[in-house]
Amino acid sequence: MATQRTPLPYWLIAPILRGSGDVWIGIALWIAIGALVTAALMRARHRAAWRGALLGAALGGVGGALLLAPLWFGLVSLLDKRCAHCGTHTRPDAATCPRCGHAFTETPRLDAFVAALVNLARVVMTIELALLAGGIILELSGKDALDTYRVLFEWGLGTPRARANSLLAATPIIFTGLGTAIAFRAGIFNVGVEGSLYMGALFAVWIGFTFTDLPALPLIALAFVAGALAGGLWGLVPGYLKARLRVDEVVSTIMLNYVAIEFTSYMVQSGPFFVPGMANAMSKTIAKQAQLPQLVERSQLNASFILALVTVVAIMILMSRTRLGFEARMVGDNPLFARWSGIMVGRTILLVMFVSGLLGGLAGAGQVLGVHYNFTARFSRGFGFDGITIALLGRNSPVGVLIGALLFGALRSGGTTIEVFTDVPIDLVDIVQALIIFFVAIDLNLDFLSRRRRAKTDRDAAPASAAA
Amino acid sequence: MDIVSLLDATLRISAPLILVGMAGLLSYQVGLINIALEGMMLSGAFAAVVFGYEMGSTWLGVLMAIVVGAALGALFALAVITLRANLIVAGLALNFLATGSTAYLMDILYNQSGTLAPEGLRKLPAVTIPLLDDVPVLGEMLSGHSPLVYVSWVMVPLTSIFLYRMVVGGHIRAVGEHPEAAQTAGISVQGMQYLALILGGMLCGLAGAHLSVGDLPLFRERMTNDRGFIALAAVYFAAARPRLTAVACLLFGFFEALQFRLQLRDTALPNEFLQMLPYLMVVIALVVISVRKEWRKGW
Amino acid sequence: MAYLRMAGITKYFPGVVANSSIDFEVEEGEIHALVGENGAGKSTLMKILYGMEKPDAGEIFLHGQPVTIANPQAAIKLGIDMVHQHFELVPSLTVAENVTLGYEPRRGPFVDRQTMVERVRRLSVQFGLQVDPGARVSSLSVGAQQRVEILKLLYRDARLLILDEPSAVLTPQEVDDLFEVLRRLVAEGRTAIFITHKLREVMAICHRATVLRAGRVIGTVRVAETQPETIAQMMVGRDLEMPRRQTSHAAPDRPRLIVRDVRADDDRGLPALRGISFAVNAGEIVGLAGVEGNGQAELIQTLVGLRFPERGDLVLDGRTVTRERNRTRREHGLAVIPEDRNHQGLSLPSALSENLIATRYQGAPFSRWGVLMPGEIRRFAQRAIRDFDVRVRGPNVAVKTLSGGNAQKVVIARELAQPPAVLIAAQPTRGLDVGATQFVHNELLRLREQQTAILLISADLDELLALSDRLLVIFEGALVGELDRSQATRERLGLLMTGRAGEAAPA
Repeated sequence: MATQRTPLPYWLIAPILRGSGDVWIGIALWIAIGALVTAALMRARHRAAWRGALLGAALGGVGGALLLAPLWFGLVSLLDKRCAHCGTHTRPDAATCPRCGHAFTETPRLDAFVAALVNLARVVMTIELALLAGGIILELSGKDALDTYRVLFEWGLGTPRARANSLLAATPIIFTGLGTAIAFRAGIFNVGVEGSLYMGALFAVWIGFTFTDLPALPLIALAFVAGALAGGLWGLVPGYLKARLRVDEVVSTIMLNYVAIEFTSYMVQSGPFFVPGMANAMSKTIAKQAQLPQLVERSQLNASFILALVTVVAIMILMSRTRLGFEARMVGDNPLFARWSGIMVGRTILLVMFVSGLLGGLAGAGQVLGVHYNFTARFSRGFGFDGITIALLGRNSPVGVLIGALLFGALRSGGTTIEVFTDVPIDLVDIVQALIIFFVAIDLNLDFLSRRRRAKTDRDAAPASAAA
Repeated sequence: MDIVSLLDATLRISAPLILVGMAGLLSYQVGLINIALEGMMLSGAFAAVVFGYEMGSTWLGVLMAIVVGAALGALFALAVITLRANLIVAGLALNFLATGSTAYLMDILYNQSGTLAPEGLRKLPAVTIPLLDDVPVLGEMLSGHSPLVYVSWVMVPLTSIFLYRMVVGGHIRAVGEHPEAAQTAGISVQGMQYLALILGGMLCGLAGAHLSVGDLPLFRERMTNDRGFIALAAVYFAAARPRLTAVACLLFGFFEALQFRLQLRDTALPNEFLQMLPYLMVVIALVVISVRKEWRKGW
Repeated sequence: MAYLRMAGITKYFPGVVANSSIDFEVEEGEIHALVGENGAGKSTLMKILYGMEKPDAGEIFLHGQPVTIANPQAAIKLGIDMVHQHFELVPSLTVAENVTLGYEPRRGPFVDRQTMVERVRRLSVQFGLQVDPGARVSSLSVGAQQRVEILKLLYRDARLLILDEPSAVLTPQEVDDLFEVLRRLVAEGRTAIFITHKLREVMAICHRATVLRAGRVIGTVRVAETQPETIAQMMVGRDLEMPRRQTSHAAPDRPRLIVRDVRADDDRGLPALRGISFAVNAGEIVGLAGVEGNGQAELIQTLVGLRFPERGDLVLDGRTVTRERNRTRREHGLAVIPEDRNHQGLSLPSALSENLIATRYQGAPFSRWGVLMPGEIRRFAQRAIRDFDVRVRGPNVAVKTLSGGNAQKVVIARELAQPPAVLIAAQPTRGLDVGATQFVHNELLRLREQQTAILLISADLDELLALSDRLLVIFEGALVGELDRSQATRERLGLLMTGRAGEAAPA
């Protein structure tokens, strides 16, 4: 069925439109900007910042509503698709009319472009809103938002050393993000990459300080392999439970994470890896030749980053070009169809969980071989959970994960120095990150509120509940 | 090792677990996994200290802890129910938000970091039960606890009555098990879910208050120490039955008390295995449940 | 004046017109059957009546007064209530709690358990619906659970009861009990709408029957004055040019598919196949007739490898495959066009090429050493698109954008890309237009010429009669008739399908 869509140069209008996208999101943005700006201005004049924030919020909201609403309703009707058959409006990147099911004429390249833009806009919006919220919090606490962000930017991306440190911070979460993403893609909600990370780290370290007679390359390779295998085998446990016994993977992986954390802590705190006389719970240091070469001076950025990039490519190939990738995608898209077509779903689940755990193990191995050179109990600063966030942010695609990881890495890395150069506690970064995660969780979907104007889809039941 | 003091410590340590366990239980019954118990508890702990100090009364602090817990419960509910957020990620976000916000506020408001122990803040008065106190062994164990410990005990039968004797409770259970049936019967599925999460938040706030002002009146960063997850493990282990959940919480509290004492001596049994036990128990319980289900279906 | 009148009801769903200008009337105190194939629109119409869906056009009148039914609560208030096919019972609650859910007798905020049990017990006795009010629903038999559902309706004082396929899950004895209850209810002035496709029941208990087909009302009849075959014929059949008959290609001593005394249970653990035996020879189309729900789904699952029989054997081209998994069977020449195109036959979010190779990606030429060969896949897809005339721009299109006919072509292209040894075609032309239907029929005949053994399962008697060399009829899990093409008539098939084997003996 034909569509009516004025072929305006979409890329000119899209940023304005999607940036102030949905009229409510747009208003929220304007409120936030208004609040931030006036709070900063008021404080600059030694007046109470919070009064400024309220005033700015009100002005921003009203102004946004007055300006945006007409702009939105006018322009968007040009870009939305309109079904010639039943007259329903729907989003520009829709393939079929949600009401009467007729397919729109395909313009695959334009559709892909629009879809990519919408995705990019969503990511940008999410980060924007989180940073804005952080800025408001700063102003209201009497700190200088602009200055803080300047420092954050400088120490995240400003100098070569800062950039190197950002890449360093991104390395482990590239691995965990990939590991989580492939499981999600196969329809498995694997929260257990953190556990695989610890197991991988432990075994890599063990290789590192045990086989000290081996030369550098074989030792490093062996350590990575051991770490990857340990992580992969750890991932098989919940995988088997799901494939064979239908145990819900969310709860089992959460619990197993803690088991892994405690087990590995035991190994260094009172178990075989315990080193008497150490103040912290640390294992022996790995052999010199096992320590990964550094890539940049004055930063701990090491070869594991290269490995991470290689892994991104490897996973891209795995998911798009191999049998396992195909099976994983089919099982994720429609497990019933997979069964009817002869795909062995149970085996696929096992293999995917193995690879997922393997990637977690690589994350851990990279950290101990490249940064710490030993194993310290509970050393992970939530790398596994960051992986979940960027998998969602990146929509389970390896490239999306990479971009998300780089972003998070810069944020973390820049954030650690804020405390030194400003009087802002580092916890602000935690707050901003939490907000990003929160907004990602809400899937700051630019259309979710205006679905009233468009045809309803049938996913309107209770939210995803996961009771056993 | 003094058994009596061990048991006394068990009761004290398991009190917040029981409260959070009841909160987790309510979420489970309404069909949602509540990962955010930890964050709500931490926020409650912080609120109790801050408001207790600012308002000059520890009890008011406890009250505010409940309010803060309720607010966070509402926020979580808003994200997950109305805004369709991913349950796990929203929970993690809330936890993260709580950790960050409490530390941030501690710095901004009081210029402290790490620990917040304001001058003049008093902990909750210990309650001595008159006659019981004189009984030799039991008296030591059962009397003299912080009031919130006794509250936690009362919460178990209260939760039971709420869920199984009150109309609302029945509705909550129906929503969790078969939302369509509940909806057709005229019950608001979303309403029940909001209710369960807000009530849960209140309980978590109360638990946090016990942690901070029930014992030594101070707040320490991350003082909840993953207790939220241990309580969640108890709920899953007990398949959300109130009394069994409470027993599991007592058991886990016992492990923790034991672990403290063992740390002071050299023993063969490592602490970490004790700490691991709750989580392993859940996995085993899940396996047993699934195996039984499959058996009935005939593999 | 009719008690209930639905006038001009129309409802669209994506890609489908579920109800098209339906006029439906029910008189007070009658049991009115709503009959039709799967997908005919019966459930949708009742969902509209019950407030679970909103019609796109049309009105509802009760006692001549127009009413708006916005949600189930509104329907209940008007005295309209429904027992769904999939029960709406909370497993861990008791009978009494389920019956009174949402309308509990209370003492303040507390449940008045005593009154609750009392009232339910009284209702149970009054209507002859035996259940223990204190029993937990999860421990009850299916028949008992249904009684609980009916009690629920009576507790809410339903005047118009809608029963959606109530006998689908009952034993014959339980069905008789259900009829008793319905008669009692109707005797005291209530009304019932009975959605079913079991003609025997329509004849046994209903006063009138309305037949729906493809979203339209075909007609309303008085049961006492009508023959079941007439109703059956109203349910099925299309005005289509059926392919003209051609010479037999069958090789009678070369059976490619042998089914021997297969017994299997359904998902509930009730017996679904009770000792089925038949064979399909090379170059032969064997049609399987039967009203839906008599074991066809379980038979297909057993043949395909998604369900393993308790007893019996399956032989495929001489190889026993009873316990083999789906993939192995496919490797030995089994192909299947599944009944549920969108969930079993296709992966809607995936690309066309991915759907096409889903059954054969694991070996050459599509993958080597575990790596997919995109060039080969693309070539295959393009060839398939060309050979089967699938109207798409290219092989990377997502299948969800395709129309029904096109989508079915994808399924066929996949299954028929290499001539299979045995093809199981389940409802292959359901939901397809004339052109697509003819295409499918031609493909089936072409395969037949190439000595494939085809089992055609269809609810469309015309299709079966036109294409089959032999016809089997399945009824309640057993084969009740085997007719050669020359002996098969609509009447005879209709009788067999409704369980009256005795009267269907050839003259």
